[in-house]
Amino acid sequence: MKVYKYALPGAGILLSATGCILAFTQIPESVGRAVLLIILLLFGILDMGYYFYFRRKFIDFSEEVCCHAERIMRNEEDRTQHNQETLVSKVVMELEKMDEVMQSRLSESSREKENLQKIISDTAHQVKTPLTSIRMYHDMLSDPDTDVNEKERFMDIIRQQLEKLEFLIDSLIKSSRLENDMIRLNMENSSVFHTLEISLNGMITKAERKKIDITIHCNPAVKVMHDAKWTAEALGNILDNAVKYTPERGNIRIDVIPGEMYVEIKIQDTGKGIAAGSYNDIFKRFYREASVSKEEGLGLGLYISRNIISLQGGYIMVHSVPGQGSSFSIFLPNRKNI
Amino acid sequence: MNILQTTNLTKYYGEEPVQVKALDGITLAVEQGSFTAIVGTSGSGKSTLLHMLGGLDTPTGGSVMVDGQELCRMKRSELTIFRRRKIGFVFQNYNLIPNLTVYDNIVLPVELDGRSVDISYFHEITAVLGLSDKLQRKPNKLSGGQQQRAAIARALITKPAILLTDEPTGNLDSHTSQEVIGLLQAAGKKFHQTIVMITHNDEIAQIADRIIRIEDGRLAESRW
Repeated sequence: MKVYKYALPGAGILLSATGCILAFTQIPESVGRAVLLIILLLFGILDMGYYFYFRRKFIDFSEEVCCHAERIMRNEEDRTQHNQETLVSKVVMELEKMDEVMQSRLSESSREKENLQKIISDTAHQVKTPLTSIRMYHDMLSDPDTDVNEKERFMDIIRQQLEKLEFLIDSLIKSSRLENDMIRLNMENSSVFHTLEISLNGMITKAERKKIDITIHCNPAVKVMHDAKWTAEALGNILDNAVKYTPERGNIRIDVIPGEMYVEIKIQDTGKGIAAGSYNDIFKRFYREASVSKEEGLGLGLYISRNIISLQGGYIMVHSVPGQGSSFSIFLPNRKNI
Repeated sequence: MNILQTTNLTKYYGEEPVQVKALDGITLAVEQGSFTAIVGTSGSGKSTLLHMLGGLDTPTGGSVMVDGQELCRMKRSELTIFRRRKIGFVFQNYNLIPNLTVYDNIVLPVELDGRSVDISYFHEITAVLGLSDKLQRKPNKLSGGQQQRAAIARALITKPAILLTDEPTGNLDSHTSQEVIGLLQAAGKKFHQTIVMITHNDEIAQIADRIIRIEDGRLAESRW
C-alpha cells in the first residue's frame, strides 16, 4: 500500500512534468498542444484513480474500526489486532483501553452503591433494636395495670435505650464526617501523656469495676504533633475494647515508645485475643466477631480510630495471640522529620 | 485501572511424574495506587510469583501484563529496559552498594538509564523516608531500617509502574519492621505508587489495602 501511496501521484506529477517540458521544448506547436492535452488528461485520470483509491481505503478503515468498536461493546475478545503496526491496530487498542477505563469506573460506582446500601441497612438494623424496645416498654407504661415500681423500671430501660440511640447516631455522624474529611484537625506539638490521660478518663471506672490493672510507661516529656482531642478518642476506643474483652483481674499495659520516624503508643491487654486472619476485619465498619455478639457495642470504635489516626498521617498495627491477649500499636509521625 | 494483570500464570519445573508446580494457574489483577500483600508460607510459590511479576523469570504458561504491556512478548533487551524504567524492587537484603553514598545509591537507577535526576522529587522521597540528613553517609553507617528505607527510595525514584518487594522487613527487628512498613505505606499513598508485597508475615501484611493468600501455587480467597 505504501508503494501506491507515493507511486501514483509521483508518476502523475512526473508524467505531466515531462510532458510539459517536452511539449514546450521539443515538439512543434499543434502537436505539442495535443500532447500536452493528452498528458494532462492522463494526469487527471491518475489523480482521479488516486482519489478513489484512497477514498476506498478510508471507508475500509472506518468500517473496520466500527466493526471492532461493535465487537468491543459486545465484549468479544480479539487479539489479532494487538501490537500491530497498522493504523487500525492503534485505534482499536485505544478503544479497548477506553473500554477498560469505563468498565472500571462502572464497577467502582456499583461498588460504592453496594457499600452505601450496606451502610443504610446496617444502620437501620441497629436503630430498630432500641426502637422496638422503647415501643414495647412505652406500651407497657400506658397500661393502667402496671404498678408504680414496674413503671420506674420501665422508664429506666427506656432512658437507657434512648442513650443507646443517641450514641449510635453520634457515632455514625462522626464516622461519616471522618470519612468525608469534614473534620478540621487541631494539630499541636503536645504531650502524649496528657492525651493518654484524657483517653483514660472515659474508661477508668469500667476498668476498676472489673478489677483490671492499668499500668502506663510514658516519659512525660515525649511530645508529638497531633490533635489531642481526636487522638484521645481514638485511643479511648481501643482502651474501651481492651477493658471489654479482658476478663476480671486482667492487665492493661500502655507503653509510649518514641522512635526515629514515629512515636508508638502500645496498648497491651490480657484479653481473649484476635485471630491473625481477622487483623484487617476488626477495623471494618460494624464488624463484630461472632463470639462477642452478647457484649455491648456497635463495631464502629476501631473503624473510627483508624480513620482518626490515618488523617494524622499515622497508622495502627495489631499483634495478638488468641487466648493470651492483644496489643494495638498506634504510630504517630514525628513531624520534625518531615 | 489495573496496572498489573496476570492470566492463568503457571510455572512448572521438570516433567511428569516428577513435576513441581510452583505456580498453578494464577489470575490476579492489581489496581493502580493500591498496596497488595501476597501472603504465603515458605514453598507456597510466592517468591516465584514475584519473579514472574518482575520479569525476572519466564512462566511456563499464562501471561503477565504490566502497565498494559505483556512481559512474555518482550525480547530480553526490551525487558531489561522495561524493568529498569517500570518496575522497582525492594528485597529483604537491602542490596545497597557499599562504596556509594546514600545519595548515589538512590539515584543510581536514573543515572544508569542516562537520565537526569528530578531533584525536587528526590527531596520529597527522602523527606518522607527520613533520609534527608543522611544523604552523604555510606551504607555501613546506617542502621538496618535506614538502609532499607534507602532501598525503598531507590525503588521509588524512577516512578515505576509497580514496586515489588519480597519480605522487606525480613532482616529487621519487630519495632523497626513496623516503622519501615508504615513508611512504605506512607510513601505509597503520597506518590500514588502501586505496591505488591510478598511475605509470610501476617503482622506486616495487615498494613496493605488487600491481602491475597497463596498456597501450593494457587491463590486462596482474596480478602479486602
